[in-house]
Amino acid sequence: MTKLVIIIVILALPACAGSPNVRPDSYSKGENLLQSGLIAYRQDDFPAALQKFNSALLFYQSLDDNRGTQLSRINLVETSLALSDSVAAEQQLRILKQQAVAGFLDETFKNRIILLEVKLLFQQQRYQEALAAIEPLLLQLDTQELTDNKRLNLLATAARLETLISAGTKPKWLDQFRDALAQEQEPRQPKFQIILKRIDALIASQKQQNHEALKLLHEALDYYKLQADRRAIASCLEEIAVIELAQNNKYQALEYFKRSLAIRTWLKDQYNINKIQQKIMLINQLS
Amino acid sequence: MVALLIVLGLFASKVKSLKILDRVVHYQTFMKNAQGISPETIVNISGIDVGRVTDIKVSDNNKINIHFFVYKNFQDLVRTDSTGEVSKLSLVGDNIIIIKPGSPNLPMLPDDAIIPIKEPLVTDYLTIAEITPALKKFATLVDNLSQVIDAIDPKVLKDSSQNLQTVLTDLRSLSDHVADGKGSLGRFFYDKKQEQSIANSLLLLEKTLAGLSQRVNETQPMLANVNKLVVESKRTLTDATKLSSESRQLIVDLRRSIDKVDQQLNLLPGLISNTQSVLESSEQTLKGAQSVHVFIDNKIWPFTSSTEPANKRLLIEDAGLDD
Repeated sequence: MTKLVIIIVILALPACAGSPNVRPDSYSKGENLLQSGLIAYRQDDFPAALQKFNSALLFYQSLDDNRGTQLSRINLVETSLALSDSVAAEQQLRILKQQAVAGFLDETFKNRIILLEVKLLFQQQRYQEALAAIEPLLLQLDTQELTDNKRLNLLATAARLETLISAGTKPKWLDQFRDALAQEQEPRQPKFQIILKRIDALIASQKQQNHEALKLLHEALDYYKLQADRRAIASCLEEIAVIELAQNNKYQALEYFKRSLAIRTWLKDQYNINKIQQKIMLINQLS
Repeated sequence: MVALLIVLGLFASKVKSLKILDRVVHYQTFMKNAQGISPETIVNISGIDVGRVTDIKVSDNNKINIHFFVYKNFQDLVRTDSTGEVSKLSLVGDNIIIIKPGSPNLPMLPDDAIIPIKEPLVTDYLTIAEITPALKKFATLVDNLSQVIDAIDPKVLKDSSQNLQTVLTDLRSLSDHVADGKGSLGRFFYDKKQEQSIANSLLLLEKTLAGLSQRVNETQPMLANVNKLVVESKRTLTDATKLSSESRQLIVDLRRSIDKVDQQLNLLPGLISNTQSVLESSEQTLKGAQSVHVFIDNKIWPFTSSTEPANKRLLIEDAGLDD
């Protein structure tokens, strides 16, 4: 009797398990490369992340693994954008878009490609085109079941682009972003509150309310410092420097630019390093 | 089915032999240098493996805090006077922490107590801490000796000896004249030629004495230096003796370690053969299990050629507009 029970249990146990995906060992190497890249990316070591994602791309190409190559390319675009390397980002993004047109793009990546396009256009300061690119996703907000985080991300992006374009005169997406934040369920995410502060700072500076803008930006800066978010800290410092310069406080502006330059140098963000150095030179010539 | 039971039996015996379920007592120690010690380093009392290192941390005062356990069965051997040392197996592989059994009349050490451990003298440290100062002192000694030799001018020495020789010749001629009874002492003093000769001799004598005095003055600091060098040499010799005795101890330890490794190596073939038989049994069992799976369902898990599917996050999270 006992033997029979043991046999039944042994035979029944595998039936309880789900159907496993059968994949050769070698696939784990590609995943390891992607994960190493992600770790480097999270540590703001973007050159190392690029190297890992490039290796992952070559690896997946060697196996003709479409999803793997697309994962690698998306990560490459994100990392290139983090280094403000629009050319490299555009190159990978173009390939992904071509795959989307040809019907080879993984369905789950379609919206992500749109968001990457928006980010690239934002970095190139093509705000109108960026807002136009994100609109299809915004129009689906009510029909799609998005997590709070994704919804707020989309609204924050649209609100920021809209403010950059119209200086807060037609706050369609900004109002929706404010409403969404007000309705946000506990626990609230301070990240989006801070983005709102930065948008408000932008509006205040556009209205020459520099004191208010500086106050909001310093609040945002304090938050980013707590998060050790280097890129956001550098951006805030640059925004503060611009407002200080607008108030003719050259020495303060110079100081903030120098602090930001140190961060950009650490990040090896050559595009922004050059941009800040030019601004510093310009201020030095003025004084 | 039988194969499966055999595997289970083997597994149970392995669990027992590995003492996974045995009760343990934890101890800790602090060391400056934990070279060769890692989690899994064996703890040995009286030649028996009684435990293992479990964790290595850095303490507040930057010492290495090593946690290890001893199986409860051997706790009796660890008393309040127990001390330990790290064997020198690091030269040929892993280290072993050797605990000296304590006196049975003393109380047993409680859980998490600290056992002082004598640190190993590693060859790298020997070179740096012991040999280098000795070599430095020897080099200084040679350097100073060469300074002493350099300071002695052979030309001056030659001149001095020549002057001395002239004086002695003059004195001899003078004494010869006196011995020959040529004139009285008064006449001798009034003799212009003799007077001149004496004056010259005195001058030469004075010059020689001055030269000698100068040489003596110059030699004095050198002599003091030589004295210092002798003291240093004596100290160097003491260091060298100490070094030699420590090296001898090291060689004894090394020999003991090699014997231990030798013993372990003797056990290795048996272990490999056992592992092989376990692996063969496992493979047979798995093959059997696979056929059972096929019979029930076509959802086979191919144990030998694939890994578990990845369910990891491989994509950078979208964080909205980046700065």
